[in-house]
Amino acid sequence: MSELGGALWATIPLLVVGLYGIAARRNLVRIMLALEIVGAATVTMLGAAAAAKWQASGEVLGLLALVAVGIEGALLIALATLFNEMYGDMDVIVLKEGGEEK
Amino acid sequence: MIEVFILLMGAATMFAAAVLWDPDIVRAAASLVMVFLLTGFALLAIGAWFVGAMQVLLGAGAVAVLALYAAITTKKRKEVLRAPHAGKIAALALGILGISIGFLTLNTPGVLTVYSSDTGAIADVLFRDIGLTVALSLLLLVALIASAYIIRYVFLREVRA
Repeated sequence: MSELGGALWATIPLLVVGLYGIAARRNLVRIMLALEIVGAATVTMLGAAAAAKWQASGEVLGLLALVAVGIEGALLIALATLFNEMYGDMDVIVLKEGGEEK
Repeated sequence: MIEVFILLMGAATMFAAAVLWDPDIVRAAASLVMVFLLTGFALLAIGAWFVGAMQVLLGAGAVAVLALYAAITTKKRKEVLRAPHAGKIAALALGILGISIGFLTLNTPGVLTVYSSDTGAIADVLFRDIGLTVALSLLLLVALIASAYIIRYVFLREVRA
């Protein structure tokens, strides 16, 4: 196994935990936190690839991924604040069914 | 330094588990700050200091703190964690997926050498193709406008009330 393989192996549990959170959680804020975990794992994988092979290109791709994580974080926080004010609930199943507006 | 990287990633995974399984959502968001910090330090350990520093500054300093803000303003701070069957199936499927990806990386070419970011090379990649810089700026601008557009309903409701 190359050392890049080792680095990716070390990062995969983080990615899987994040994906599990997206699939299994119902609270919108919790899903947002899980998405951030997936983002952190992605940036780490790109950073490991940069250290092994891609050098500067890998680091710039990592920066791009980090910006994307920031963007989805900002949008989800805006949505969470909106739903919190409108429904007082963050359960995505309740929100999907229309919720009960305050 | 790969040993330090693996150690830090193990700690980050444990904090990630705390993000998902801690019933207190504010504590969960605080754990996310630790996830970003530890992954950033792991990147610094293997010499990718540019993206590592960005992970610490932007990830732990901005994104995770924003998430903490969202958690603090949530009305239902304590969440009753439900574990439907879908969650168990998802855990099984993702476990298999993770192991499969891991085996695929067994033969990944490339050796992790003592690498140190070269600012000049990074600047070359970042600015030589100006399209990337413009795309990044536009993405951020669109995100900020969209966030403001969504959030304005909250204030409109308060004004009308």
